[in-house]
Parts: sequence; C-alpha cells; structure tokens
Amino acid sequence: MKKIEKISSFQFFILVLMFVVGSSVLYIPSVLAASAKEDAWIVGVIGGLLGVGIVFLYIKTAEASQGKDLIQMYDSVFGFIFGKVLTIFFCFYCLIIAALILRGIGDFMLTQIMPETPIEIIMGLFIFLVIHAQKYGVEVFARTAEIFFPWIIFLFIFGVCMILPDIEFVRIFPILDNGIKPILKGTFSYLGFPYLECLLLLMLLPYCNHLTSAKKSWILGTIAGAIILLITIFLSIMVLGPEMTARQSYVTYILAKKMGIPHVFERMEVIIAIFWILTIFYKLLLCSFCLTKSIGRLLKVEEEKILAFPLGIIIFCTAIISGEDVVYLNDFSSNIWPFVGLQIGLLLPLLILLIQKGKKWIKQKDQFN
Amino acid sequence: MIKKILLLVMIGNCIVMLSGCWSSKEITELMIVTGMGIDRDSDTGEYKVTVQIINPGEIASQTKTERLEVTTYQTTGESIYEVMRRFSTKVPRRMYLAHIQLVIFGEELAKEGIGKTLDFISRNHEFRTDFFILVSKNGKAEEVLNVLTPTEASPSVSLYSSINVSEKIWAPTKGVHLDELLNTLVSEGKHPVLTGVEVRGDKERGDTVSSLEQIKPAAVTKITGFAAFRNDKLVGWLTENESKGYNYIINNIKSTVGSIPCEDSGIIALDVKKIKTDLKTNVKSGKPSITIKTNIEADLGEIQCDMDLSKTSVIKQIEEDAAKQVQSLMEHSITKAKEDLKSDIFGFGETIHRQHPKAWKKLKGNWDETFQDLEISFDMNYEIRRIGTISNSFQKVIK
Repeated sequence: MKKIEKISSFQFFILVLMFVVGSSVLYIPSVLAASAKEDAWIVGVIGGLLGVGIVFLYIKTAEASQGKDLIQMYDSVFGFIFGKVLTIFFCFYCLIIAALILRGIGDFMLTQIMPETPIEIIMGLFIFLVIHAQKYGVEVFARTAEIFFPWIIFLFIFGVCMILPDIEFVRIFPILDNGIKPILKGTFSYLGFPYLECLLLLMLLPYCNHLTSAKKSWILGTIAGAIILLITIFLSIMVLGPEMTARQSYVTYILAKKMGIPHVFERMEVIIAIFWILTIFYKLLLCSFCLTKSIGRLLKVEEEKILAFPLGIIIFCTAIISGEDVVYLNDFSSNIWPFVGLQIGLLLPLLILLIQKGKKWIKQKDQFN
Repeated sequence: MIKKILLLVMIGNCIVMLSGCWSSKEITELMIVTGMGIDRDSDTGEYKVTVQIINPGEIASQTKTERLEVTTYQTTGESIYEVMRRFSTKVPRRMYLAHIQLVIFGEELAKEGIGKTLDFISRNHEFRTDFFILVSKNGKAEEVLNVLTPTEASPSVSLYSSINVSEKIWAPTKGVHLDELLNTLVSEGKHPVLTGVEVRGDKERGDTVSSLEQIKPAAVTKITGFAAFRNDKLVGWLTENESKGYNYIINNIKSTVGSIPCEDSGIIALDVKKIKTDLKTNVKSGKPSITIKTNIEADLGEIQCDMDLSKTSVIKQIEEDAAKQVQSLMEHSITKAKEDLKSDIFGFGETIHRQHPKAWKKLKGNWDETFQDLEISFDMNYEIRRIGTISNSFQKVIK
C-alpha cells in the first residue's frame, strides 16, 4: 500500500516563507530600486499587500475545489483535453522558474564568490541535492526545512543587527518624487516575482494534515516573507542609497559585505549568504517537486519520484541554455516573465474560481427548482 | 562484507573529493595587495598603476632578513583591468585585492577625472567597499605608496589607521569609502570630496630603509585638507580650516578641539564633545535658501588668559566667541566652495531635493550656478558644560 505523506501546518508555513524569500531576496531590492528609486520600499509595501491578496485568491480557489491539487482542478474545470493543455503549460511554468533559479544561483556564485569554477559544477551539485531530496519525499524535506528554519531566521536577524549602524535614514527622502508611475512598474515586476509563483504551492497544499490551519499558515508565511523582503529593501536603500542599490547585481551580498564591527567581526558575507542559499535551495526543490508531480499526473505515472532524476537533468540543461548572458536573463525575468505570471498565476486561478462558483450556483438553483 | 568495503570506498571518496576545492587559492600562492595608486603616465597617456604588496616572509617569520616588509610594483596599460593582469609579468604570484586598504589617485589624474577608473573598482568582485580613497596632493600616487613608515610594517595600513583615528578626534579629517564616493558622484545635488594626502620631507629617500634609521624619518605621509571635486574632476584643495568648516556643515565631527583667542594674549582651547548640524532649506518663489543649525557642547580644556571663570557672564562670552569662531569656519569653506571651486561639495542641493522635491525639479538644471549665490544663514547654539578640574586659572598670579 502506498504511504500517504503528510506535512504539518508549521512545516507548510516554513516552506511558504522559503518559497517567497528564496532567490527574490537577492534581486528584488535592485530590481525595485531600478524603477522606483528611493520609493522602492513603497513598492515593497504595496506589492506585499497585493501578494497576500493573490495568495488569498489561491486559497479561495483551493477551498472551492475541496482538497484537489492544481492539476486535478484543471481537469475537473476545463475538461480532459483543455485540462491536459493547461497542465503542459503549468509544467513549463515550473520548469522555467526552476531553471531561472538554478541559473541565478550559478551566476551568483560565479560573479561574486568563485569566478573560476565552471557554472556546470555549481549547478550540478545543487540540482543533485534537489533530486536527492525529492527521492525522500515531501515529509522528509519539510522536516529538514524545520531544522534549517531557526538558522535562517537567526542569520537574517543577525545580519540586520550588524548592518543597522550603517543606516542613513535620510536616504529614503524625498518620498514620491517621481510620481506614481515608476512605483506601479516596480509593483508589476514584484508581483510576478515572487508572488505569482506561489501558484505552485497549490500542488503542495493537499499534503497538509489540517487544511484549515494550513491555509492560515500560507497567508502568514507570505506575510512573513514579504516582511523579510521589505526589511531587505529598506536596508539596501538606507545603507547603499537608491542609485547604488539599482546598480548592484547582487545587492544583498554587497550589504552582507558591509556588515560587522570593524576589526572585530567582519568579512562574514559568505556566512550570511547561507541564509539565501538555503532559501533558494528550498524554492528550487519546491519548483522541481511541482514539476515532477504534474508531469507524473500528466503521464499517469504511479510512482512520481522516479521522474525526479530525468526532470532534474532537464532543469539543469534548461538552465544552461536558458540565456546566453546575464543581461538577457535579467531583462527576461523583470520585463517578460511577469506577463506569463499574470496569465498562469492570476487569470487562470481566477477563471477556475469563477467557474466553480458558477457551477455551484447552478447546482443550487437546480435543487430549488 | 562487500557492503562494508563499498562503504569504506565511498567514505574515502568523499574525503578526497569534498575537501578539495576547485578554484582554491592558498595563501602561499597569493600576493596580498594593501594599497593601490593610479596615475596617468604623461608620456603614453596610459594608466600607471602602483600596487603595494606585503612581503609575507618578512611580516610573518621570526627571523628577519634584510629585505623590506613591503614592496611596490608598477605597470602601465590602457585599462586598469589590463594593468592588473600585466602585473603577472613582474609579480611572482597572483595578486589578491580583497585586503586593499587604500586607493590613491595622483593629482594629475584627479584633475582629468577619476570616473573611468572607478568602474573597475566597483565591478571587480575582489574589491570590498571598506578601503579609503585618497588623492595625492602636489604629486603622484606612487610617491605616497613609496614612503616607508616607522611603526607599521605596511605604509597603507599605517595611513588607513591614521585616517580612522584622526576622523574620530580631529575635525578636519574624513575618510571616504567607495560607496559614499559613488553615491555622491551620481547624486545631482552634491559633488564629492576625497581625503588628501601628501608626502612631507625628502621624497627621494622615503623609500629606503635609511629613512627609518634615524629617529625622525626622512619622509612622512601626512593627511591634508580635502580634495574638492566637481563631478569627477578635481577642482581645488581645502585648507585645514576650510576642511574643518566642511566637516562642521556635513555633521561629520565626533569630537575636536576648538580654540579662540583671548582678549589680551593667549588662547582658550575647548574640548568639543557633541556636535549636531541640521540643514533647513527653504524655497521662496523659486529662490532657495539654507539655514545651518548647529548645536555644540564643549568642555573648557585650556585657558591661557586672565578671565574670571566663576562668573556666568564670562562663560556666556566664551560661548558666544566660540560660536562665532565656528560660524566663521563654516563661512570660509562655503565662500571657498562658492567662489573658488564653484562646486556644491556640501550637498545643499541634495538636501533641497529631499526637503523640497518639487522645487528641486526646477532648480536642478543649473544648480551649480544657483549654488554660487545661494543664501545661507546660521543658527548657532554653543554650550559650555564643564570647566575641568580647576576653576580660575593661576595665570594672573604668575604675572
């Protein structure tokens, strides 16, 4: 008999938080500062609120379809053929996110820490770990997340405390100098990355042992993630200034370089980097997990785990061929990706919700007649 | 049994594979660069880069030889990156830049503009942001790096810590880090300043050990007043007093000594403990004005004249004089910036931008001209808290 894997609400909370923070914490401050300058924190607030709203929509969608995961929703709402087409779209969505994350961590290590190591080695080790984690299943990696969680929080708080002396509060002024337009543009990119990607978590939701409290921890996890991102945005702007923030490729790493008490406690950026490398690992793991799961559903594979290895290789290859240079990748993820995200992450779930509500309404009407 | 052997092989494999690092750089393969000087080669027009390197054998080992603890190398090239690689033809090991303490620009290059060289420094991953950037006054950057220092093994480290100490207790000094410089360069309403450094004494002998074999070294490096820039070009130097005034205005003084002359002869020295400067800007019908509001708290440190310190009126008088003194320091540096340098090094424009963003949109176009007839007023508040361990001075009795 197949063992049913379950995760607790707290574990789900941790995974949500890691998913939201993972990889975005490294890029978001400079992406937002590039468009909104010193108002990037406003984008952080607005985007965070909208992000929670999006998650609320996902939760409503999940509620309306009673414990089904996303692929099952597609099938039940759009019928067999359309369901399959949408599943394929969703698979590509997962694949591209996973590839971008993997490429991102590879580029980061190459640019900042180990410029001579081939990117294939770094990405290969990373994806190997992800494949390995998937083999053990959800229950195990949720528990490991629980072990790492205190470290992540500790490193974050430690880092924030270490950078506080360098803050110059005046840097966030003037507020709203360039009007509302740049803020909207920033919010748009911010929604696509990471909030609209939270759609993937719909695949994980059915694994929770208590659905009602899991929904609560989804919201809480998103809020916590948004707060961590907001703090990072604030710190980057107040410590480095909006212009420098916008110009850095990996702004959080630069912040980490500046942390510490001179001559006593310094040069610990690589230790602080563990914070986001762990979160990135979990985000990649979840993306890869969703991909395996949905391909498994699509092909009706009983034991989905055997797909983890070949799909890991595919993610690896996609990451290598995904873009010829860093500039292309940056342009893609901040200007093109949000549009894809809007369709798959916002329009489709909204449609599913409406159709299901409509069906229910028709059913009730039939009963009365 | 086979399982056990396999396990052992696996573990052995892990030990070998995991402990090896792909692009490992052992310390014995590295040359630690502590200082870097950038000049313009006047003959070819290329960049001339001087690096100061620590000689590890001399720093670390117990038995010292005749060789020096530091060495400088020099190479030219069209881009800094190219120069850094070309060094490999002279330097026996790979250069490691993460421990750079100072980057020094020669005065000539600074006058042409330093912007182009900064790109390499901010783009390269080995550079951190915690080094100081200086300009060599009346000379080349290489001259500063070639001066041996008596107490510290590495001249760069010596200058670095000298700036650090001086910044805390001596008003005219301020160290500028890379990110601050870049932020000011891209800011519309502020022009940068950099710390100045010059070589005093016999430049020719400064790089030989014989310079250190006498109690007073033949040549020493000395931190001087600020190098003031307009955009990335050096436009002039501030004197010590002007630098002091500058630091008062930008609120960058932690503690210092203020001295005012007595009525007859002698000096009153004040130990300045707390300084807070706020800039208040005002824009009336398109015309900006600035009020510099300064609060200073000080203790009486030394008094060389005959004054009755038991009277509050006397203390009030000293406070008033001291306030005037500080105000005139500020006025001097502002006049210099307005008339001589024509460069808003104080960031008044930036303050207006922050406090009156709408008015700034109209002002920013020709801010450099507007700055020259900017109306500036002062609001000084000087308080003397304590007068030290004795009350009235014994100066009178001595006479």
